[in-house]
Amino acid sequence: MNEDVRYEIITGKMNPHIDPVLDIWQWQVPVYLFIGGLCAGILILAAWAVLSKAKSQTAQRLSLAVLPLLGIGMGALFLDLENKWNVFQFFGRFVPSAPMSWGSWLLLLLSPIIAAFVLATATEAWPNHWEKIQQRSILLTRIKTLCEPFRQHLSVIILIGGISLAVYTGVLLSAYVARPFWNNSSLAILFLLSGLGAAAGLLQLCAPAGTERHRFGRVGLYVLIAEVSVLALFLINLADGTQAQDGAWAVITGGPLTISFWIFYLGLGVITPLTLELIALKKKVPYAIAPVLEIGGSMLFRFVIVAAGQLTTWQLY
Amino acid sequence: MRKRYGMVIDTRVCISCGNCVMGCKAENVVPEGLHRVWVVEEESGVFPHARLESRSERCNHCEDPPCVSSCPTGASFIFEGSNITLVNPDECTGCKSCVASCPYDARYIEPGGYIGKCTFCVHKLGSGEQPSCASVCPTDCIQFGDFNDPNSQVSRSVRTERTKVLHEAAGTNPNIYYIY
Repeated sequence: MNEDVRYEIITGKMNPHIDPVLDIWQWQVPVYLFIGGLCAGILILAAWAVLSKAKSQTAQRLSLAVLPLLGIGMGALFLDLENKWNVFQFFGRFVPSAPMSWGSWLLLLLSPIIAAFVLATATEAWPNHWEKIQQRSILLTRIKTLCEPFRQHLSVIILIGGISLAVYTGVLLSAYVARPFWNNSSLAILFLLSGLGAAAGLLQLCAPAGTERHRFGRVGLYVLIAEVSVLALFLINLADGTQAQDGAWAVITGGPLTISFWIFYLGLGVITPLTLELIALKKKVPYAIAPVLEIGGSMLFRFVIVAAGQLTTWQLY
Repeated sequence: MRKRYGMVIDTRVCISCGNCVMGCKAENVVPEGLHRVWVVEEESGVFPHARLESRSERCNHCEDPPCVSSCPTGASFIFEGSNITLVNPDECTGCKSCVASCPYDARYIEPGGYIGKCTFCVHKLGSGEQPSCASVCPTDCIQFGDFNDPNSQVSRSVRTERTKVLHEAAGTNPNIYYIY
């Protein structure tokens, strides 16, 4: 824009939730994206625990919580729909060009596979409880017997499905060319890493003291290092981008989300747990602080990103 | 042959009277407080080289409409044999994906929960009538027609006048041109 040229746009249009800035997605969408990412992270780590030698009873146990959690996430998304009666239209057809359609079908197809995976690994996850369940439900035992031989195959599908689910939550936003803050392909990887970090944090909190807790602390550390690296690429792309992306960059550099992004998300949600995990390699630190911050940071990340994207527009360019 | 409907709006003639807005609201029974068409007054430059551009805006019925490709249910669709993008309320979940995908912010949420937008008054086109906004314009600054017809008024205007489209870099190939 020429320095001696000033633009002022006056318009009579004031559609609710559209003008003066987009405000179509409130808390429901970030909550859905966070739960989706967290569940994807749990699935990835649970499948990894089955496929690798690094067994983890906690990861396998937590995979039982994935379906109810996804139900809560879908519930949040349902609350966001303006025309709730038509919710089943998501499954009326598959639209390959629409990320939201991919997500709907992915969740639908993944759900029975998650249930089969939980059953196939139930003996290791719940050795004491399974005996009692076995006596009470013959049907569950039969299904479990059917699933068990495919344990490895199911784990591979869950691993791929988990990665796809986490990536989808990012692609959902990055596909919108109209929102310069979101229109960045590294957002998908950031969502994957952020979801994985939240899951590692949750597993670290739930795991008993010892090797398993220590292992998830390490996983969290590596994920946070990767997240910082990808975040740097995301920010470089934004800062060095087009004029529209410059406008998006301004939202977090002096704009309304500056403090939320740099202080609360990056400072408290990423750098602080990263530092604590690094210190924990040499010294003893209270184990719960880093994972709690990691989970909080992961959730705040979704809130900030969803809000920032809606503040950015092509209207001035 | 497929129709490529569009508009050429002469910003030199537009007086920002808002008749296009009212014509659209009356024809399409657009609820109070919502707009399918709106008027923009854009000031630029510094005195004595200041400039004011008045223009009527609406959905650009793009050649590559992201609102259609991002709709997860197929409720947003392209009207057969043309480029007019419409919404089927019976299939719309109100997920607002199309709203987020539109670089023109041309869509809005109807009180019924589905998404509303300009239809180019598709119900009138069959009988050879113009969209309401164009037919009520007192300065005749809104031309409507088929860009695939080289002899149409809009095709001729684009060939002979200095025109621009809005947010070209968004890459949607809009079908509303502005003479400036």
